[in-house]
Amino acid sequence: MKLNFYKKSIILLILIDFIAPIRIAQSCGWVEYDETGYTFLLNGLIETPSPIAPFIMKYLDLIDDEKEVKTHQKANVSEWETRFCKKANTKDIHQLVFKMPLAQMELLKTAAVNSKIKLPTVLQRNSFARHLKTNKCLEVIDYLIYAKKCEPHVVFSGNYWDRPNRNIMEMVLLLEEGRKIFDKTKSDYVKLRYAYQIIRLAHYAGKYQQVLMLYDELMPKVHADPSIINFWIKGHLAGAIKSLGDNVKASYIFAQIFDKYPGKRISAFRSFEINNDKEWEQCKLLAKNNQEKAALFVIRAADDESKALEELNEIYKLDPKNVHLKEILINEVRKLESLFLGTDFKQKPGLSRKLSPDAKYLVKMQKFVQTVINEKKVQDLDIWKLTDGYLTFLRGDFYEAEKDFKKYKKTIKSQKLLEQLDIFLLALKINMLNEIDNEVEDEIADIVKSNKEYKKIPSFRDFLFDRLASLYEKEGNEGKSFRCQNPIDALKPNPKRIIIEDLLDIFEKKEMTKLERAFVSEDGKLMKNLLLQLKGVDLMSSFQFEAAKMVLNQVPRKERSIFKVNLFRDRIKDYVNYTVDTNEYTRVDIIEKMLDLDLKGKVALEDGAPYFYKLGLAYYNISYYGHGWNVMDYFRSGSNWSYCENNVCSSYGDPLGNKENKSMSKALEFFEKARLLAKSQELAAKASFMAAKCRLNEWSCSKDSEFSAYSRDIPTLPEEYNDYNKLLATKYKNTKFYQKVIRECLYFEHYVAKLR
Amino acid sequence: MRKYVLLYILLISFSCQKPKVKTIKALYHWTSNLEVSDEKSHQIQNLGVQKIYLRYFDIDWNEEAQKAIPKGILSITNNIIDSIEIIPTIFITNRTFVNIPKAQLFPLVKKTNQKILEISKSFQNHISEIQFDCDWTVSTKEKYFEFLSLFKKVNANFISSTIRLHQVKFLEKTGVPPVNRGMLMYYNMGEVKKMSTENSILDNEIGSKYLSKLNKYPLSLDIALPLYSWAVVFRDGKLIRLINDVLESDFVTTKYLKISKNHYKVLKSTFLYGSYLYEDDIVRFETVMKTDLLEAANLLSKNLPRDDRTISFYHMDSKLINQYETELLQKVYHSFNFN
Repeated sequence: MKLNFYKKSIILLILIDFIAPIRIAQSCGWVEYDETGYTFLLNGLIETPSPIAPFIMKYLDLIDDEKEVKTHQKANVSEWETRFCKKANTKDIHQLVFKMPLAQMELLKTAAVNSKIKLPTVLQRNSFARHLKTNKCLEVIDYLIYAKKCEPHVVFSGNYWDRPNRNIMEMVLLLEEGRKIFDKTKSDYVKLRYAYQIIRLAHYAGKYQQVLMLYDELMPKVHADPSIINFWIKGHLAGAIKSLGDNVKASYIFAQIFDKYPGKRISAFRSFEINNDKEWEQCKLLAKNNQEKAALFVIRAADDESKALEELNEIYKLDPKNVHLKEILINEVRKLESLFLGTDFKQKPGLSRKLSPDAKYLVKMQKFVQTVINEKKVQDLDIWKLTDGYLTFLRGDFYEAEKDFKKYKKTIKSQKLLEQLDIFLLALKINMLNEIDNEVEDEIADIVKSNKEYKKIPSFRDFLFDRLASLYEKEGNEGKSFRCQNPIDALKPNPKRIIIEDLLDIFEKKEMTKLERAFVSEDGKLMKNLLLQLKGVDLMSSFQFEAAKMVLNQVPRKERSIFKVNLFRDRIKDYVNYTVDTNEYTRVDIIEKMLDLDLKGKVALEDGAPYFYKLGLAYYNISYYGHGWNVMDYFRSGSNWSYCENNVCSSYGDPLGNKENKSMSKALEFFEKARLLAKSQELAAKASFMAAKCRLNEWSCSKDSEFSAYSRDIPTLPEEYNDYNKLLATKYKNTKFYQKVIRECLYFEHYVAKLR
Repeated sequence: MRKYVLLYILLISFSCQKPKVKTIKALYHWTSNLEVSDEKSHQIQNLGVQKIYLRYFDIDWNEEAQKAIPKGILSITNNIIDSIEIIPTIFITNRTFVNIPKAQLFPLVKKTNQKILEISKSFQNHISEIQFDCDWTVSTKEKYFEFLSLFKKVNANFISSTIRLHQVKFLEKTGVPPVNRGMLMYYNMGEVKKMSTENSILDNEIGSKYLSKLNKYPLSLDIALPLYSWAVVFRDGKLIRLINDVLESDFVTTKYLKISKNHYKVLKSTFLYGSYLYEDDIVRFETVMKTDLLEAANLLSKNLPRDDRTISFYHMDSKLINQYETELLQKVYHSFNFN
């Protein structure tokens, strides 16, 4: 489960109404984090986008060949439509150009040549086919037939797993055929299309030098009006030039295509390749004017990771009316907001939004924006003004930003920009929250419930609750702070008391706020019993059994966890899986049994050994190493069999880490008591052996230990941890139990052998 | 009688000897065009390379088509020496398994197999193994493992899978792929995204933490060792790009300021192998030092069970492989030989 899940479902407060179950945050298992920041820029902010707007603003979404193919086809159809004065509809043009089989096209030609022959039904239904027949557009029909023949060699079949079906011999023949028809064709527009087909064939046939020759030979003979086909041809020319090794000249052409023709923008961007500064300078020299030079900076700025103030400056100097300026600006602001927004907010574990934002860069960007505003050379000055205000906000001068926004609100006319302004104002309001009381909590609930700006921008959820998390933390409300960013279940691997207590305190209030109710609920159900169980588990793990019993007793019996485990069984070896006991115990039952044993042991005075031994076993078995580990823990990982600070092991996806109950102190205490009081040597031997196991566990998870749970080797136990082994091998070596252990326990045998 | 005594002595001496352990020398070829120059061919022969793991194609998830598709299909300009065994290697992105519905797994297996057979037709070389490379995670292991199991049904060759160090460390969580052998990638071990990381390619201090876990890993492991360098580019503290095959000499210009052992600050915006670096970017140059490579080989050989295994360098087209002497690379290969 990705953190996206958090992002999407975290704090989905009140989807419909507060009556409906309120979900703050949930998780189920493995969590992967991403690093995106907050963004408050509206999609489609620029109402009259330049051709590159969608490219720059949603570059990642667009970088897909299929989308480019579709854009390209659409542009092609649109051009046919324009050239035929809209005599045919786009759907029919698309069908005839891209879908009609060659045989049908030949029937169309026959019908066009001979007016007595009727069109087949499928063509009769097609307005473009009808138009071509009626007007005897034979050159166009011949061209479409020729294009159909070229298609298998040059058009992607749609199956990514197929090899391109290219037959070089056939392609060369087609090229020659096209070359001849080109000369005979009268229409300049159709000639242009032939030139495209011929050059494309040469390119895909790998005849790169021929592409250059054909371009020089054919293009001067075409006198068509400006057409998108010129860009397609240039694309193939640039491709051939690049294949011949001149990536600089090719990049210059790709930059011009990128600048002016959206249909080939993605491939132009991908093919643009400048390797070093020398090549960049050479490329700039190829530009014929400032606009062409600016286009080079535009394509360089389009890189998703660019820091485009440099490019903005250059484009502005070269061509202040450049249509791409504002898109690059907005894209740059988007990057800045992901760096600067929420840097003082509480970060979710695993996120690294607190990078090292370059404040110098932000200041320089704002200075540039202000220069542009003052010089008034650009189009759409309002967007620059709005950006100026937002940059002030990002700089942290909230008071000034608010003043700016309110001032602009009076002058801005564009509805979209006004909408954007309201979004900035809400972000500013959230950012300026300084303390939280019941009133603020209710106001927040209202924002989540009904604020239209909040609903428009997905980032508001994280932004609001990350901000609240840091405020709650500052005010000592660890529980509320935790819940702003995590589901209640995230407490299970490490039930942190301070968080649980803070959340349980909410139940003590006379009246919960709506937000508080959401913090202590999941799927609309109040989670008091789970919180009590978590608290009980935490108290148990710090051996405060009386207190744990009091807490756990508050949970109705039917909601208490049940364990089928015999904690008083001794084992020579520990196993991950254990035999299930027929008896059922709740945690309270287990605590009562342990308290009872303690009491009996104390009362029995010098006869207390059996009771203390059993108690030692219970402490051992509910620890990380025992088969009843889940009595005091919700999640145990084998990979934590090593040192972890304070026994909290880092665990991917667990915000508080995973606490393992590795302390052997209580178990050791009772085994030692049992050994000292034991009336029988056999019991003393058993207690010594169990104590030796405790010591081995203590060492294996100690800081300096090199023990590996995965290693086949028996670890070398340092002298100070070998005390009970020694005792067993000397004082109790004549017991039956000792002989049994020697037989069954390889590592014990090994340690004893070393002592001999 | 003397004959029997001799035979007895011979038998005794052989039975006391541990069997020799063989190292199979290999290289990875990871670019999408196979163009083996005479010089490269010579190098391969000098090294005594017996196997080449040849990247045939990648498989990635296509959002638009909602399908797994092949990418970067190998084009062949000239061939590898016939006597060398080829192991078709297919890299599958983890997101493929994140997105692919289970019902599409078997069709993908069939298409993958067909594509492998189609590319393999271009070679005369012996092919007996196919390797899959995927950085699978807990959430994708089920589908990746099913893919591998299904593939074994349609292709009778030996199947291997790359294993990353974290997959060894967290084997309980990430599971063990159902293949004949694993190829442990003993590199990419540091946190490349962290600015403070010294060398994310090879850091024996980090690597040694995994060593004790290796002999417990349920699959027999071959070893891939790194032979590449790159520049890790940080912008505003965030990793933005890895530039492959960079050499330290590339930073000896006035455009960079060396700020630590292997960190450079960009003083003036500049192009570096096709990437435009901006003023104030920080570049960490990472390479594989000869001493580290030898140490890695020694550490691994000491900690792995005695077994015949393939040792492969990743990869044969890097500039670094040309900078390292054949003797050094031979020494690394031989570190795994036991007599």
